[in-house]
Amino acid sequence: MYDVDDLENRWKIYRSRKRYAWYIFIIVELLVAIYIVNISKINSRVVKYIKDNNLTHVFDFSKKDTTLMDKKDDTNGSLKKEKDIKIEDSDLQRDIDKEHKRKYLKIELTDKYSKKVETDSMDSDEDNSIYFDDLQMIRDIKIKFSKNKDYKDSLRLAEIYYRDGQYTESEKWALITNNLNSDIEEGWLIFVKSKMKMGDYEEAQEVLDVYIKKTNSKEAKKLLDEIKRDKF
Amino acid sequence: MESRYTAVKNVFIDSIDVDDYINLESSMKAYDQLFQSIEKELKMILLFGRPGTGKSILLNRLYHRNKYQKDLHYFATPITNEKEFLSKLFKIITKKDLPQNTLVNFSTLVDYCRSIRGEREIIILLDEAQMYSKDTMEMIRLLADTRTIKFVVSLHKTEDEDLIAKEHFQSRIWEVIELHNGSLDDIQTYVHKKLLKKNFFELANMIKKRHIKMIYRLTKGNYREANKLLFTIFELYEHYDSNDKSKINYSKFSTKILEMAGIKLRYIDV
Repeated sequence: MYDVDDLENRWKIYRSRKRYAWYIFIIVELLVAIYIVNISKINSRVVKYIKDNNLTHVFDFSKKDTTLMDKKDDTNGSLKKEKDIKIEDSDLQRDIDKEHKRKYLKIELTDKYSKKVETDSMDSDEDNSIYFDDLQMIRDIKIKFSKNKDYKDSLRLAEIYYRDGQYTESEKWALITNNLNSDIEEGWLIFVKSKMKMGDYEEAQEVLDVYIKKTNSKEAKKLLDEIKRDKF
Repeated sequence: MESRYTAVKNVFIDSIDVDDYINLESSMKAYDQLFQSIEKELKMILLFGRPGTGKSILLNRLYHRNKYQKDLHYFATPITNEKEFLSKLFKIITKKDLPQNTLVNFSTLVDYCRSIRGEREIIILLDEAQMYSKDTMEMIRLLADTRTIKFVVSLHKTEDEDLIAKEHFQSRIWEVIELHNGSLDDIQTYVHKKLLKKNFFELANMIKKRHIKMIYRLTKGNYREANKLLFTIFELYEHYDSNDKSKINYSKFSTKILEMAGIKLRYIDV
């Protein structure tokens, strides 16, 4: 008969490894559950922290409603509503797709807006009320955009989507912004960065080169430099 | 004093004893297919499968169930010595012992087989045929061509042996029967029937679906591996029963002992 004591010891090691794997799994599951249950609380704390520390210039919290939203209704509802809001996207997108290459390579100045760039309006007092959920924010901005076709709204959407890592959407909204007002540098930069994130390096650099030629923008040069040095 | 688990352990000693044969749906199907094949006008039948899938026990069962009805002969162990092999064939074909210090003339044997064609239908079951030499295989092929002798050839399924099968039999084999590892249900039936056959009803009842799942996962449904695992499990039971009874729950099958057996046989890597 072989060494049963040794076998028992090996079994104990095996058992404890198996248990650790379970503990880790349970802990991860618990953390995810806690996060999901407390998502709005965590968000509000983060927002409070940012406000308390005067970091609002870093993060762009937009508009209107200051009340806390019911988290369940909000998550499900806003997702559903977001799908419902089409804001004539398809028509707009179709036109943009058709002309987008010509547009962004020519860097045309649209005549829909004056040359004056209203960059400060993004952080205006009026718009400084805090949202606790990006989905809610996106929904409201889209509604607003569908009414006014304001490039500030499309730019905000591009920023939010880019921040959230939804690069197809951020590219789309950056393009809409550029189409409405090609003088907005941020729109071009988000467009280029989104392209980069999606792996379309050649086109991103091409756009950036053309933009730098047209505008001699420091920010654009800085970005191009980062891209070339593989530091993006 | 002998432990009560000694007899249980011995149930799972790997054997090709026809009494140990367990009727499973898949094995019954393979048996029927094999039996129908030897009834047909075939020169060669290839029984194919990975080790532990039940080829030998299937041949053994075929032999024992039909040895009095048919001119059936079973070579359980390969005869690697060519002279000895021919001498055994001589005895089967002529029903006479080869005189001492005499060699078999193979071409005369082939002629003799041709001459008795239609009078006799000899069936030879060759187990572990991968161990026969290329020359011996060639002789088998020529003898099969006389249509007096039908060969059922059992081969392990490995890449090399696939080649052997192709080389020697491809043009002559008319039927290939392939055996596979058991399914989860097959393993459950196999383990339970094995125990029930030897009247270990309580134990069979104690082995639940979750244990079978683990046995299946560890052995991948291979019957020989399942036998090995269960033998080791009851060997451990036997040890505890003789040395430390407090470590066994006699009313419950132990997952711990199952896992220990898995570790022992290196199915589980620690």
